[in-house]
Amino acid sequence: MEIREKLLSVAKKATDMLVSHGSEGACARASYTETEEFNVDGGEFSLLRTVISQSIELDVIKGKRYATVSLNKIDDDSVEAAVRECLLSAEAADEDGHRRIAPDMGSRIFENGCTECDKDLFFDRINELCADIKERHPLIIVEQMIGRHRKRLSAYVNSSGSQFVCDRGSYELDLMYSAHKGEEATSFFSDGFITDTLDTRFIEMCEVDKNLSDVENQLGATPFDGKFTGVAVLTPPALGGFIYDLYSRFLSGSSVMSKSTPWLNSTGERVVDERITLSALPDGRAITPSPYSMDGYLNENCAFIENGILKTLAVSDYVARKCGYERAKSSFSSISLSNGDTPLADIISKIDKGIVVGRFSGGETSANGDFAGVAKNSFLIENGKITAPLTETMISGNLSQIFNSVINISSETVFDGSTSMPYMAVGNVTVSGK
Amino acid sequence: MIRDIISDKTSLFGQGAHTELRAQENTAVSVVINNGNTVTNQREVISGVSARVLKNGVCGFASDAEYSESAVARVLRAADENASFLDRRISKKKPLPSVSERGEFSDRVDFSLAEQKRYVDFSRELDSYISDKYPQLASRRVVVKCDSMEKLLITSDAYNAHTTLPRSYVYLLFEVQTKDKGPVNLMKVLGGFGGFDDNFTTPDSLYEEIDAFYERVMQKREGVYAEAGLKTCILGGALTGMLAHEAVGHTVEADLVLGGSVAAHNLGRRVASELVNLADFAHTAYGERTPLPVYVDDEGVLCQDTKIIENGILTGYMNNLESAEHFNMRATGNARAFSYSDEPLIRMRNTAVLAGDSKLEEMIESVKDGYYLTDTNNGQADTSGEFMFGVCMGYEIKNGRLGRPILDTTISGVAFDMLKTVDMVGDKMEWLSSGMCGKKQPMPVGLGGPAIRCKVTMGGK
Repeated sequence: MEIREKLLSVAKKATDMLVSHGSEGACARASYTETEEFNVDGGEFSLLRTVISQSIELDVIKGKRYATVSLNKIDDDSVEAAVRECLLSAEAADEDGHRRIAPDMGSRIFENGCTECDKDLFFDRINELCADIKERHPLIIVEQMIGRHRKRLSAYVNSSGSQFVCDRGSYELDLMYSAHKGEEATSFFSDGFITDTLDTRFIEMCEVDKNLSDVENQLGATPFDGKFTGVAVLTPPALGGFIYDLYSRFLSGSSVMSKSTPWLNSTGERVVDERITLSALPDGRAITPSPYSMDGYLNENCAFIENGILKTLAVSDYVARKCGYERAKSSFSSISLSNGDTPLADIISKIDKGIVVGRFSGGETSANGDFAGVAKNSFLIENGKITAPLTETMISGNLSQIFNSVINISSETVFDGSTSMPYMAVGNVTVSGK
Repeated sequence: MIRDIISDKTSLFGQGAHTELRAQENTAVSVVINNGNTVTNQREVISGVSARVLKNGVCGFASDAEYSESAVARVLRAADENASFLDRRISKKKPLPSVSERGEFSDRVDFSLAEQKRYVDFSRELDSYISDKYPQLASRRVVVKCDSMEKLLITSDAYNAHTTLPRSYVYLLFEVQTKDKGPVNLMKVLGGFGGFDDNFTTPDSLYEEIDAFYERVMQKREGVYAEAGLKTCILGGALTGMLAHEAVGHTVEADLVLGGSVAAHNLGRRVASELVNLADFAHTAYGERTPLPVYVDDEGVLCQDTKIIENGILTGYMNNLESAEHFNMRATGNARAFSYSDEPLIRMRNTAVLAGDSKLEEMIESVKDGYYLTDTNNGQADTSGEFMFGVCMGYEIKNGRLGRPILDTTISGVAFDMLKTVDMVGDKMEWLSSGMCGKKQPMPVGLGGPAIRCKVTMGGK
C-alpha cells in the first residue's frame, strides 16, 4: 500500500474505533516523515543523518470530555492500544461542552514544495556555501550549519467526514556563526531559510551574504556609553521575534483563556499603528504552509491586524466557543507583515539618534508587555548614519507602546520561505549602556 | 521496560569503526488546567531504534520508528552508508578516538506511567483548592508534566548500558493585578527526578507550599521597578545555576569551543575570582544523587564529573570522544541524545557553581545598596559569554536589610568579567531540574549553585 493510502486508512480506522466506543466526535492525524540532514561543525562536515519517523495523534470527545494521545507507531495493535488509552484519558477529564470536532470540510489533497531530495546536489550546495563564506567572509567561523531535507506525508480524518491528505517537502538551512580577529569575537548570529529548489547558490539566498557582512562589521564593538530613549530599527529577524511576542502576549488563545491580553474587548478597534497589517497567508508564498489547522479547519488567508485595527484574535475553535469569540480563519503561521514604501537607507538617514537591532536576546516579556534585554549584532545610528557596532547594550520598552510608535516601515522585505518581514523603525525604546 | 532487540546484534557492526546501537522510549504526560478549564490532557509515547557509525572522522546516523529486528538491521546499514557518503566526498582520514573502558551498566530504575486519571484528578484538586482559597487571583494555571527517557545502548568498543531518566513536576502560575502597573505573575515548580508517585502523594501535601507561594505573589504585587545600572547583587542559587549553565556551561562545550567560543582562548587562564569553582556533575554531588543523574552517556562513556573552573582558573571543557581526542582531554560522559532519532551531542548534565562558606544572612548584611535576586524565568547567553537572564522575583537591599520586592527585570553581563567580581559564595546549594536545555535537540538538565555576591548590570525601567 502506498504510504499516503496507509496513513489515510490508519487515521480512518482509528477515528471509526473511537466513534464506535460511543464518543460524540473524534479525529486522527497520521504522518510519515523522511529526513536527510547534513551537519557542519566548526566549518567541517561532521554528520549525515537519516531519520524515518511516523506518528499518529488521536483526539476524542466522549461525554463532553476531551483527551489527546500520540504515539509513533501506526501498526494495528499500537493504534488499538492508543484508542483505548485515549478513551480512558477522556473519562478522567472534566466535562466541557465547548469542545467540538470540526464539521465536514470535504476531501482534499494538498501538495507543496519538493518531496524528493537530491542528496548529492544538496551536499554540493552546502559545501559551496562553506567555500563561499571562507572566500568572501574570511573573518567568519561557522559554529554549526545544518542542511535538512524533509519529506512529510500526512493525513487528517475526523468523524464529521473530513479527509485531508498533505504531501510536502522542502530543503532547510540553518547556520550559526560569529566573526573573529585574534582573540576578539562577535556575538553569534543565527540565519536560515527554507527553499524548494537548489538552483541558487545558498550565499545568494535571502540576506545570507548581507548578514555575514554585518557580523564581520561587528568586530570592534564597544558598549554604549550612557542612556537615551529613542528609535530602534528592528531588522527582520529581530522584528519577527517581537511579533511573536506580540502574538503570545496579546493575540494567542492562551492569552485569551487566561484573560491576560489587554485586547480582550478590542476587536474592531485600533490597537497598533495604522501602518501595521499582520496576516497569516497559507495561500501565499510560503513553501510548506499548513493547509489546515490542528482542529480540522481549512486555513484561509487572514489578517489579524489590518491597518492597525484588531480584526480577530488568534483563537482556535475551542477557545472561540469557550470565551465567546469568532474562530480565527487561520492558525498563526506563514506570517506576513506588510511592507511600507520607504527604502531602509532613507529611513536611517532621517534618524538623529537610534540603534539598529540585529537580534534581541531578551527575558520573557512581562504580562503587561514590558520587555528588556540585550541588543545583539547591533549598531549605533547618529545623525542619519550607522556609526559604530555595539556590544553589552540593553534595550527596553513596552510591546504595545513600540508598535504604537512606528516611525516607518521599509519597502524592502525578507522572505525566508515561511515568513515575510520588513525592517521597522519604532520609537519609545530605551537604550542603555554600562 | 522496553524490549531488548539489540543486544545480540553486534555481529552486524562493521569493522574499523566506532558503532553505537540504541533502542529508546520517551514518554510524556501533560495536564494543564487554566482558570479551571482543562485545556491540555495529553500523553505521548515515542520509541524506536538508531545507529551511529564513526569512521575516518565523519559520522553516519540513521533511525527508524519501527521497533523491530529488521529495523535494527536497516539503521545499522544506513548509518554505515551515510558515513561512507561523507567519507567519499571529504576524506578526513582521522583515526578512531580512543575509548578508555568497556563494560556493562544498568541503573535499575523502575518506572512506568500512571493512568491519566491520576494526573488529571491531582491537578483538578489543586486547582479547586487554589480557586476556593484565593479568589483574588486574576488568573491561575496548574500544570502537571512528567517525562522519561529509557535507553538500551550497545557499543562496539565502550560501555553497554540500560538507563532510565524519569522526571515529574507540578507547575503553578499565579497572576494578580496591580493598582497601576498592570498584571504581574510568578511561577512555582515542585517535583524532580522520579515518577509522579515518587514525588507526590496527595494534593493536600502541597497546600502549605501553595500558601507560601501565594504570599510571594502578593508581595510581588507591591513591587517596584529596579533601578538600572551596575549594582552589587546577591544572586540566589537559581540564578547562580542559570549563570553556570547558560553563560559558562555552553561556552565550554567543546563543539562550541571549536566554533570559536570565548573559552577557546582562556584555558588555563583566570576567568573568575578565586572563590569560584564550577563543575558539571554526572550523578553524585556532595554525596547525594544529582537532580538528574547520568551514569553512561550515549557514546558508551562511563560518566564522571567534569571540572570546569577551579579556584577561578578555567581548567576543562565538556567533551565527546572526538573533541576529547582533539583537545587531549578525557571524555567524561557528556555526549547525550534526547530521542531515539537524535544523535549524541555534547550536553551538560548537572552544571553548578560549588558552595563556599558564607551564610546568606551575612551576605545580605554586607550590601549597603543593591538587590537580592531569587527567581529567574528565562536565560540566554552568547558564545562570547555575554548573558541576559530574566529576573521575576527579587528584593531591594538597603543598608544590609531586605527591602521592597521588585518587578520583573533582567540582568546582563559578560560571564568571565562578572565572575571576577564574585567576593562571597554561600554555603547552601540550590538545584533546579525542570527545564529543557535547547541545542538542536531538547535535553533535561540539572543546574544549581549557592548564593553569590557580585556586581551585575540590572535592566530596570
